[in-house]
Amino acid sequence: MNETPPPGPVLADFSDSIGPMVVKELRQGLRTRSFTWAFLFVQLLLLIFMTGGFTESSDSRDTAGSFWFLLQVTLLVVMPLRGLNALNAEVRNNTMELIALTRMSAWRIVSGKWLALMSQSVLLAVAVLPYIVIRYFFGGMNVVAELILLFVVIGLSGVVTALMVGLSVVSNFLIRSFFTVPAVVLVFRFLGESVYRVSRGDGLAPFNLGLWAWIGILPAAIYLGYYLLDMAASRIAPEAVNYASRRRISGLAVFVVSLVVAHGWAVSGALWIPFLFFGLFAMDALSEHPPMVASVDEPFRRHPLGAVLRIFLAPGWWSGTFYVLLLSALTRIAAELAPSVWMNSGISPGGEMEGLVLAFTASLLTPLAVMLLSRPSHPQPIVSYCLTAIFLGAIAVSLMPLIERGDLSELMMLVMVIPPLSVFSILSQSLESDTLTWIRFLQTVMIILSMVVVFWKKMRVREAMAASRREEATL
Amino acid sequence: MNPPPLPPLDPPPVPAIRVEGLCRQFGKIRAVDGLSFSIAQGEVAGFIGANGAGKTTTMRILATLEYPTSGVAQIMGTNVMDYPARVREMLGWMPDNFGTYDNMTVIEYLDFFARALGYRGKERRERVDEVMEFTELNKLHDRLINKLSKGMGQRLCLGRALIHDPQVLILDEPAAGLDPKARVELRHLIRILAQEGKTILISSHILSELGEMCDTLIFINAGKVVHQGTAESMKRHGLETAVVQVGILGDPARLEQWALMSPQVKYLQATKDGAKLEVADGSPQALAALLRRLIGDGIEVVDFRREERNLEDAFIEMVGKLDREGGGR
Repeated sequence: MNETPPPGPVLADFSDSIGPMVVKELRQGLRTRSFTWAFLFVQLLLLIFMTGGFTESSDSRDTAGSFWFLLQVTLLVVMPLRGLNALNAEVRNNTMELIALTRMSAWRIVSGKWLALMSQSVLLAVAVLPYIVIRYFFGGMNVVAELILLFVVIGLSGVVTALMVGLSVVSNFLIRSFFTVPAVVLVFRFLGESVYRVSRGDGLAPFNLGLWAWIGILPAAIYLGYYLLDMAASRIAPEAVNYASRRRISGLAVFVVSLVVAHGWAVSGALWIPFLFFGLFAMDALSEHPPMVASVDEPFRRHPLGAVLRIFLAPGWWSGTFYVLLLSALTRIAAELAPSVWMNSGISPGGEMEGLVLAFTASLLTPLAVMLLSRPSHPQPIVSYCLTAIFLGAIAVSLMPLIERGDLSELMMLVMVIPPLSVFSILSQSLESDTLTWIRFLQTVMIILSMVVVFWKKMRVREAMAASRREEATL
Repeated sequence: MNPPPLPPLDPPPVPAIRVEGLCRQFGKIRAVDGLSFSIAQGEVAGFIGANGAGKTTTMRILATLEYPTSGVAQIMGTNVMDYPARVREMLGWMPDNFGTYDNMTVIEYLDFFARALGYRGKERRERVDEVMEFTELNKLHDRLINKLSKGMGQRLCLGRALIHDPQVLILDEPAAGLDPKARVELRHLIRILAQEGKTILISSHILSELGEMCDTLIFINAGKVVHQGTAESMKRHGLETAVVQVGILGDPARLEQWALMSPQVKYLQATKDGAKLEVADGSPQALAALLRRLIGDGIEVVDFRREERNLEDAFIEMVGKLDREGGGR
């Protein structure tokens, strides 16, 4: 007689091949109302579009437009936005610490969150494939182009989700919104463009960017996603775990490559990518707590070049300042080697270019100095850093109309000390050489002042650490 | 002939928990101020102190969740700052407030932590089953965890801390908010863990329970250890005198007269069949001598009891004394 196995809480073993965080997030995520409703809603609307789309009077291009609009809103906005609370919710519910006490590394926690969200997005995308097949049977569609578009949308969804999961580590709502809103706006621009093209039957047209563009954009987007997740991981990792150095090394390599590609691409706006990376890497490096744990320093002590590498790569804002100066120097060198690219972007070699690099560097270092003077022990330095940077940026934006009116009075020349204002001024108009010299002088002073604050604070941290180690040695 | 060499002495076992000169500063506030204590392997230690005394901060440092400003904290001889991953393998941590997840059942919760701790396949299922059996959560395996009662939630939290069978358990206020029945059940589980030889550091405001469960009590105030020892030693801490209750045959007024003649004895109050006396020297020897004198003086003693303070009274007196001396915050 066959015996039935006793009923009990037995779980399948297939899931052992998947990360614990992915399993947990999928178990929870697939039960959430946001996923269930998004799934049902998409299916229902697609059904309505399809039914209405194939009546005799309808235009297949309208159906395509509606189809892609709905799919992109779901994959590029609704699903990624679910990640905006991913890490913050764990911190708020006091569960992050419990997870941190397991063997799971911070990277596995963060990447698991991302992977689970992406799996749900892919599930949604796969569920709409039958509708693509139906549309193919009724004709009037470019299958290859639309499949490529589907892959691009899924890829872009991955980057936006990574941005949201990365941001979810930040407790401050304003900071999260500050980065989320522009991302959503950019996504909608892409969405609008591609829906328009697809509905006209152009298919691949919006992606006809050329080889250099693909070489630049595709890996840059993938790296950006990785970087944001890694940045979030290092914010939840214990101090003894050093994620920062590997990120800075990879960042340096990517930055150099992005400069080369931008110079090879040689179109207007090509410099945006290296400058985007520059800003992101700087914000990350300058908003790290210096670890008080001796074991972090161990690899630098063992390595023959450790003393030099430590200056740029050790975690914490101290080495972060030198890292930013290194990126700044590399940008300057690249500009000297290929000034034509800068001219394509409307920046003349010499004064403007030098002023821009100096002002951009000062814009990144000044918030650090302000943060160290005002709130040195903020539990999340990235919040303090970003709020200062946003504040300085807001002042610069509010003063820009005066600059654009050409009102460069003595007072206005003095307010050029605000680094972002100098950046905006150089980018928005061609300035006279005297003004440029003044900007270069002011921004050099700002960089030096920031460095003085950083050195002073570093000395204080070093004294505290030395006192702590002396105390430990006597125990 | 030379005597055979003595076998080498075993090195003294490493303390399960060692804290030396631990400090933790939050801005201008010193939550922990040069704290030092150690707990031997297999010991159950109670951690007591008023709110804000630095208990949770110390426990969080030991659990690798917080960094000390200075000082040393070790679990089984491993520094918690330098080797947090190694420490975490030896440690089970139960925080004072148990974080819950939406849309997750009891078994999924334990299964997730078992996976996260590196258990796979059959081994993982066995560990989860064992823990559910120990904490008696089997019947609730498919219950959503945010629907559990406080007591069940604490059991689940203890179960999670036990998944990897750690040698050291740090339990921060595990009985807070539990009804008496749930408290008794939790105490029973902790007793079993203590019998299994686990080292347990447990904080609670229910001092009588701690006194029953713990081998040693560590009383901290303003981030410093005020007293470390058994419950009995804590009850007598700071007491030089002793109060004894004496019952005699015959007229109780005799005791008052006897006390007037005895320089070391103060008559406190009359009782139904005797009196309460305060003795200047509270040592056991002095009390024995007192009893001998009473009998020697012809008083027929039928009852002679030292009055003990309970732990709560001792704690309140100690905190009050520290406040008066300016030792509190």
